[in-house]
Amino acid sequence: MKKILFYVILCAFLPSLSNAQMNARVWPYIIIDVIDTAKVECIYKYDVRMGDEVRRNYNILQIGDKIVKSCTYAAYRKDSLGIALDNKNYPTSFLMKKTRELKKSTIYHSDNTHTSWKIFWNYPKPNKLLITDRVFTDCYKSVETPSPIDWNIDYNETKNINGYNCSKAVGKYFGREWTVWYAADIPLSYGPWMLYGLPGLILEASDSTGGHKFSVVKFSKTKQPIGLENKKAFKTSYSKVVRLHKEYVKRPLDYVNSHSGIQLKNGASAKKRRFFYNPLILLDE
Amino acid sequence: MKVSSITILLLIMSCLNSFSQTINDKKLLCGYVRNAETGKALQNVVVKLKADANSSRMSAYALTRSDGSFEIKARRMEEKGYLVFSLLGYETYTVELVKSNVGEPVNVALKPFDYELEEIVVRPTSIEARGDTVAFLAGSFISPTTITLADLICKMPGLSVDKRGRIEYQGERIKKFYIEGLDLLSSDYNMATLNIQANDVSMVEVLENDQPIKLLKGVEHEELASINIKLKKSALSRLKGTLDMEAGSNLPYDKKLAAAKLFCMNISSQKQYMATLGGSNYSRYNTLHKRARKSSAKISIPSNPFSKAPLADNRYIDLKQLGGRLGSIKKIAKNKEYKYNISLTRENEKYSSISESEYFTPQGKIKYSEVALPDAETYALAGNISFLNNSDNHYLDEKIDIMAGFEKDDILVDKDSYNLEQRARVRNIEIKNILKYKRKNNKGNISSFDNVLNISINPNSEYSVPSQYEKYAYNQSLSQLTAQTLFAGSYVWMLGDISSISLGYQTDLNYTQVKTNLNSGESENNTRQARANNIANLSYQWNPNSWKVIFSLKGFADAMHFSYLKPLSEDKENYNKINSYWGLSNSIFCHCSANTKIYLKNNYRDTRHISFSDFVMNTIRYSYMRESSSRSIDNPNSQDISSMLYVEYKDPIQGMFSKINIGYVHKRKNTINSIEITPDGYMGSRMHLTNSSSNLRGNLFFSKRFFSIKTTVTSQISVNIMKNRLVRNSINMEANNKSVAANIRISTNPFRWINIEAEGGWGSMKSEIENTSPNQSDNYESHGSLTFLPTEKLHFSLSHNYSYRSKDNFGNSISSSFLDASISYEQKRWRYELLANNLLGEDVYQKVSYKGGDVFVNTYFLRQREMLLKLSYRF
Repeated sequence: MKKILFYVILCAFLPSLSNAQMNARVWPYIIIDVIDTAKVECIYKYDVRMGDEVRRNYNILQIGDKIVKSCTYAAYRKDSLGIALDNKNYPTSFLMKKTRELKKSTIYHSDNTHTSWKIFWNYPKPNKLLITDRVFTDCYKSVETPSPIDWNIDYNETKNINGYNCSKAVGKYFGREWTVWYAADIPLSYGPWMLYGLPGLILEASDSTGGHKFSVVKFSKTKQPIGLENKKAFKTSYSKVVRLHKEYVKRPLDYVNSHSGIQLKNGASAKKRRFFYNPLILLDE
Repeated sequence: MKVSSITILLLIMSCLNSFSQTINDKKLLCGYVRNAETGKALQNVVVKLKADANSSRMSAYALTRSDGSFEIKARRMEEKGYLVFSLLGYETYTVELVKSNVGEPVNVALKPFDYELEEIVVRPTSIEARGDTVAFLAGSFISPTTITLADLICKMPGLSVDKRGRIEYQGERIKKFYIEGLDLLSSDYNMATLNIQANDVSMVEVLENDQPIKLLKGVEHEELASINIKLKKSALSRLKGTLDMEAGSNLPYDKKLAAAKLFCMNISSQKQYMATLGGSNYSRYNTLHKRARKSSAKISIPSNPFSKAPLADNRYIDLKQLGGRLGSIKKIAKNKEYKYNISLTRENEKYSSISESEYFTPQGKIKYSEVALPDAETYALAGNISFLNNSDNHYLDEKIDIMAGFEKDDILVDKDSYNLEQRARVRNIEIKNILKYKRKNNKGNISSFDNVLNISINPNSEYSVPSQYEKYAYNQSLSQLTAQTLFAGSYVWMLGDISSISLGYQTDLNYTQVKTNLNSGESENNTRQARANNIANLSYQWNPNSWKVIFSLKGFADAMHFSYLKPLSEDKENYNKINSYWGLSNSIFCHCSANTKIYLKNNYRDTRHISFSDFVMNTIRYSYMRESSSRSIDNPNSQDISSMLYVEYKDPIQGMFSKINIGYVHKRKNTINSIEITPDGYMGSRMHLTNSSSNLRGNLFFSKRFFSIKTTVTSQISVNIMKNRLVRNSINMEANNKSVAANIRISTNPFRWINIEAEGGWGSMKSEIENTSPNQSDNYESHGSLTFLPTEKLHFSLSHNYSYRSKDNFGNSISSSFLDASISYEQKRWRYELLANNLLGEDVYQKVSYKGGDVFVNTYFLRQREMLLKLSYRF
């Protein structure tokens, strides 16, 4: 009888014990590796146009001794938090609080342009390019060899951008014709997104259709670490990732059905959603 | 032969050699770059080939690879050249190249050094112009004393907000007030301006020349600007609001004062709610429906360009108020929305004042005096529901409006009035019915009854066009019928004087038809407009003293109107269009008008108008406006230049009234330059200069008045300077040979913790009315406030108003001095404020103001010492 009573009491307390365990459960925020330290960072205002609608985002270029990273400012904030938390485990409530704080309004936070790429120059080895991206919930990473851009420099046109005398260059890259303004006084051959290869830092870039425009808003010295999130991702070529993104944007339900195994019905409640998506890369179909 | 062939070969070789002195195609330059300290290869070093080491031009460049190697293919190589190696964080290294050494590898070691960067931080500009939109970034204008949206808008150049929360832009009332692109409150938007927290606002956009009807964009030019408020993300799609509670005492009368108000809103770009509920036993909340207030208790403070009346309503009006208002709007499709507004108010208003005015007229000086002692009680209910479809090819505005009010004024006369107005606009029919009943009982009885029924078929609430091109001809498919009946009855009975019975009946019928026939690029328009006016009036007057009886019956239908509309030319490809219109009226007066509108896509837009009136008022008007620009339908944001000429002439015997107005506006980015000159025989001439980029405005006013044999000359100078968001200074001066007035206003914060606002004015007047008032009277006014901000949360404010008039109409000097103090403290969402008003216990305030040569004297009887504790909770 005593045994029965003991087991009954034990059973009664078990759920509360497991619940307490759940509350005390700890997780890492994200697993992130520090791969270099940035010596210079450059923040760009990024305007994307789709039809009449223009949305604004902010991008950051972190330039280290070896590695250069380009991503949205929202992603940079998330990675910075990950680095600060040092891959350690924290209670769920603490992580949720930190996530909420991160989402609090700041002009740099908004990521409403469906920009999910992160670009790492000279990683995993020199002269290579690592691009991580996400389509729906699937993560992809691609290692590419950067293709050179044939820049046509126009010495007759100069422009002063925030105190820097800039020269104009025009070049074709992934189906778009880019007009960029670079500062020869800053001997860094990078720029926003994947634009590179000029004898100075690119401070302003716009494509000929007016669909994309990057303009520098901040350029400063820094000692911030450059982080790379360590998570499982499908390895594939980036052109395939771009195609998948296009497919997802065109027919999201079909994409989710075919890629996740979840069967979503195109019922009355599932309204047709028009994604704000204007790809930087135009592939030849 | 052998010698000669060798000589020829040598000659050819020497020629080739001399040729290669200047041109050497695709010469390869190569080498390695390493770190001078570590010896490691340096990647991405910029290697430039230059003809001149100091020149910014380069003939070729390359970037080093991961192993530090580089290659430059020089297309052209001069006798001498330079290779410049640079990388951020390393010293720049220059190598001189001599032509003979070209081809040999250039190996370089760069020394690291602690580099300096000219850092860039681009802060968002506080004012940004995008086409016709001027955007003000709210964060740049917020200071610790900025609490509501009205406080914020007041600080923005070109914008002003009056005490009731109504906004003006460049001196003109705004047309529409949008929040997140939706017009929730229509014209009664003060609920938003006086309640929305400034901290919740992200941006205030001024939409210049905003045509709210999409269909008419690029067709009908809209002069007035609209405002769009953009909220911060943290204030969107959530319940936000404030709860204010006030309690205190009026010390001389030991009267308890209490007030409370709740304001809440939930705003998104798709649906919005806004509501307020408030009550007070001593003062007014301005945020209730403006049309709910039907009281006759109105005070008219003449507009004076030189000094703002520092007297706030709550110093002299004793008002009990209870009311609430709710507004909602929902976007149901991209271009479709519906909304409703409802308000219910009860007010009891008391105050006493005396207004005296002296006006110059061609016939002489007129003195006008009015005593106001209203004790008005008003109940008002107003509500409307509307549906709007505003797409590129269809515009439809359906609305049902109901207003009901009851007003009782029981001090001078026992007067009741009832008002019921209903209006419904559904599809192409509008029905409007206004019912008014007044009863007045003092010495006798006065009753009146009015009912107006108005039915319109195809009112200007629906436009529809089948294609983009035909939007230029939108109004040509319009036919409109308006019928109106008016039935009015009145009965007047004044014992011993007069009695009267009057009955009136009036019908108006107005039919307009505009036909359009567009066939293969040719169009033919015919317009017929007919109007019949029939008025019957039966009146009977009874005067018991003189036995005078008047009976009259009037009926006439002689009004005739004819108009003709025809485009003079039309070019479909270039969207060119010329419309001309002439009109002729004949009733008790003659009226003639002509109107020409020309729309050209790529060049300019022209509007001309001529008008003529006769019999009662002889008037000739001519207006001409030309807008010249690259502005077009396809490119609406381009720059434009507008010029405008307006000439008006009225009967010289009646008023010596003529007017020429020449305007010039040039818009470029954020700069608006305008000059407006108005020579005016009766009122004076006026020159107005505006430059919006430097926030500089100027007014020159000159008045030459022919009044008997006396001449009044008035000049005015007004300068407003705003150096930055916290310094706004202005100087105004006016002088004429009867009076002179000057005013200076300064607003500054020399230190972060102190804020000073000061305004002072002086006026002197020589009275024209001898034997009744002294000849000379001086008037001083000053207003100053000092706010200490020891911390962001704690504010001390001291405000002083002083006014002095050396001699009133009875030869006495009058002065009044107000001292108000307040302490406020903010803690998270709470704000505590202790207010002490009219501490010196002034009971009379007299204000003298000047406009041209006219003089206005207003005497108010004031509420004295009040202490109030105000609690405000923000959520």
